[in-house]
Amino acid sequence: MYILGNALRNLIRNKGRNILMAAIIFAIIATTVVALIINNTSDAVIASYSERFASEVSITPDMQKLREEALAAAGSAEGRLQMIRPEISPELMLEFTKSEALRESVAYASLGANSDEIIAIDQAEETETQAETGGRLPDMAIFGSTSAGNFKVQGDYWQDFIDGNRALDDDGISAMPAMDGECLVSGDLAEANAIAVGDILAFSSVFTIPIPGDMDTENFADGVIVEINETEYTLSVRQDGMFTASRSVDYDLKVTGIYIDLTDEYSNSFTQGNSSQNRRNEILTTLGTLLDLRKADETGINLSVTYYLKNPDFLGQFEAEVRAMGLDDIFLVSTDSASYEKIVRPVEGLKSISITFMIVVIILGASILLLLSSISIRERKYEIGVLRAMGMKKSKVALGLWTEILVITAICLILGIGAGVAAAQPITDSLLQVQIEAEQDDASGQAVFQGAGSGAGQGGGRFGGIIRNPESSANVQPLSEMKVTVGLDTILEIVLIAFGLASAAGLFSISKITKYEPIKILMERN
Amino acid sequence: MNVLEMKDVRYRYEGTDKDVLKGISIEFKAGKVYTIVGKSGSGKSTILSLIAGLDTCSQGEILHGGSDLKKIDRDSYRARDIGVIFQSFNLLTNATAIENIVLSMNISKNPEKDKKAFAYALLGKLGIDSETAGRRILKLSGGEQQRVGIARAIANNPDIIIADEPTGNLDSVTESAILDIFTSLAHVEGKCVVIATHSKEVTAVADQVLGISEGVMTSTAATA
Ligand SMILES: Nc1ncnc2c1ncn2[C@@H]1O[C@H](COP(=O)(O)OP(=O)(O)OP(=O)(O)O)[C@@H](O)[C@H]1O
Ligand SMILES: [Mg+2]
Repeated sequence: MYILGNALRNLIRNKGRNILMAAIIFAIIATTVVALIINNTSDAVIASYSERFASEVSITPDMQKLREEALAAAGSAEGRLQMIRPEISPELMLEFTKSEALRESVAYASLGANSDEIIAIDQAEETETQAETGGRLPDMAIFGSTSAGNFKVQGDYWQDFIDGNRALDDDGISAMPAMDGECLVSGDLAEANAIAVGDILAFSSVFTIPIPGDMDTENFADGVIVEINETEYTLSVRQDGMFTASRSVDYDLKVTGIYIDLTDEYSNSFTQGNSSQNRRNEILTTLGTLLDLRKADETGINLSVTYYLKNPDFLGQFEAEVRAMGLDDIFLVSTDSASYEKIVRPVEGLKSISITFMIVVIILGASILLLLSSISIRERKYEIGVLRAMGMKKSKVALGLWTEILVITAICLILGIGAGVAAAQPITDSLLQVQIEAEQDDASGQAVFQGAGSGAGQGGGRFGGIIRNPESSANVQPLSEMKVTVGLDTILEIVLIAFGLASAAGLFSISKITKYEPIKILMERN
Repeated sequence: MNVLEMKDVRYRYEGTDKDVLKGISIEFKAGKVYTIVGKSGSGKSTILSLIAGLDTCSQGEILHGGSDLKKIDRDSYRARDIGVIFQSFNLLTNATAIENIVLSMNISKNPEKDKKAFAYALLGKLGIDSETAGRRILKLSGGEQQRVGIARAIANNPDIIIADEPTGNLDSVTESAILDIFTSLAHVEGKCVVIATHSKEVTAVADQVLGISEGVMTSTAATA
């Protein structure tokens, strides 16, 4: 106990030496705190962006390959450039969700529908007529990208509920669909058609199927019924003279609740007045309900699956798995690393600057500290000799010296952490700015390449149709602000570094001095 | 009964190739004052340092109560069994007189409850007032420092007290007062007191005078 008292008294007795020591320790701590804060905040930012961007998988057709194949085909045969849009079957898309590499996947689907019982909001007279004539589709709907019908039946599309744009009516009886065959309708639609919870609504939807290439087309005519995959389809002639095979399916959905929609009826002005695009006409049911209606190879259901990797490193594993499940080579499996890189690169630059800076400061600081403490120890050699002559044990002498340096370090920690925390935000801001400017100078040289890349990305999105359109990297802005946070881990790290450094510097010199017998020290001075 | 016994002690400073002590044998008994006399550089301080347990002899042995200093815990020996007044005092110069004594008492685990009061009283007996006792050693005169050194040496009530030129910085009045203290420590309290000195006044009070020249004993004259 007297060791501590003596150590404290020593600190006050030798102010000059200790203030110099404290100044250096303070400088090391303050700069290390800034570096650690930047480093840890960068880590958090990078982790969160890698979660958001680099773990969401895009499966898009390889446009270049597609073009090459089309050119090769054109050269060899018909001489007409024809690019066939590759698609992934819904079965396969859902199969992919079983991949071990995924943290989760979100699947939802939509299907255009009509009803004889209820009238959609903004429903036009002629579409009703069209529905009566057997639901012939507009040509553009063949690819399943546009819904055909006055209603849009959504399977497992709950994102608006998560986002707070839709909510279940608090009428006390509304409940979310618990099983296939159940649905929610919008408050507006329920009001217009006097729909009550518990009602059963009848819908019909149209599915089309590609006509197999080996089929005999001799008897084809509008309205002829053909059998494909043991199912009957009605033929119709498209504007371009080609035939389409389709069938209409009738099904009932039981209303389990009313939902309140907070968004606009139409998501943009171009679709204004088109009942199929009116959000109040969306019937919300389960994905299973829609998938049950569909038979193999049929189009009509617009399925969307988003895959989230456990972390970005699982991309390779995911790709291997989906290829094994049958994903065609024409598709590219990628994460949106371009956006991720663009956002995160300045942060990574900042991080590496701060780490380098921290290492330099620690090494430099440790050397100065070592030098200083070995000088001060030499100064204190006599003092140590006296203590030893008085019978103080080596360990206690060392403990006393160590206590001194720890007390200095503790005081410097309090001041240094305060100063570092105060300085971290402005330093981060200016460093990040420098990084972004450097990044922009760098990027201007690559502008052409990037433009091309993003074009392909958008095209891929449209072609895939069923795959989520990856966000174009050209639209993503690099992170321009970073709010630094001081976590407990940062404080813990700096405390460890500071005490470790101080102890190392102190103990190194202490070990040198305590190995002498006191006679050596005392007689040398005499 | 010998409190301390040197048996054919040889000593060489680390890094030198010449024996400073060349076979010293002396017996020290309790209740007696010994003086070691000899020219400068003859080895007086070296003998005291070895007795003080600041180092071990290169050859021979020094026994304290029968046990070899080489084999015992010399830290606790220095702290409790022996009090040393160094030629150059060896006090903590940045600390006050009081702090020096209290620290020494702490190191030796002195059971005294109020160590500060004890130290003030002890210094007072040696003619250091409380104002002087609260000053840093650096700001004390040579004589004052010498008396602080004496106070520190006897604060823990050791069996053996050794002093290297303890009166070198003192006027004759103070010198005789200090010598009275040493003689009474030996003759009244039964301590073994060993003093290295050039001073005739000091040798006059000794029970035994040990002459040394170039590391060899020359005489062991016992005075009357
Ligand atoms: N640390 C040391 N290293 C090497 N030699 C030393 C050391 N200290 C003393 N000596 C040598 O040992 C010899 C004896 O020295 P010591 O100090 O014992 O003499 P002394 O009799 O006490 O002299 P003085 O009367 O001047 O105090 C001297 O020759 C001295 O040079
Ligand atoms: Mg001497």
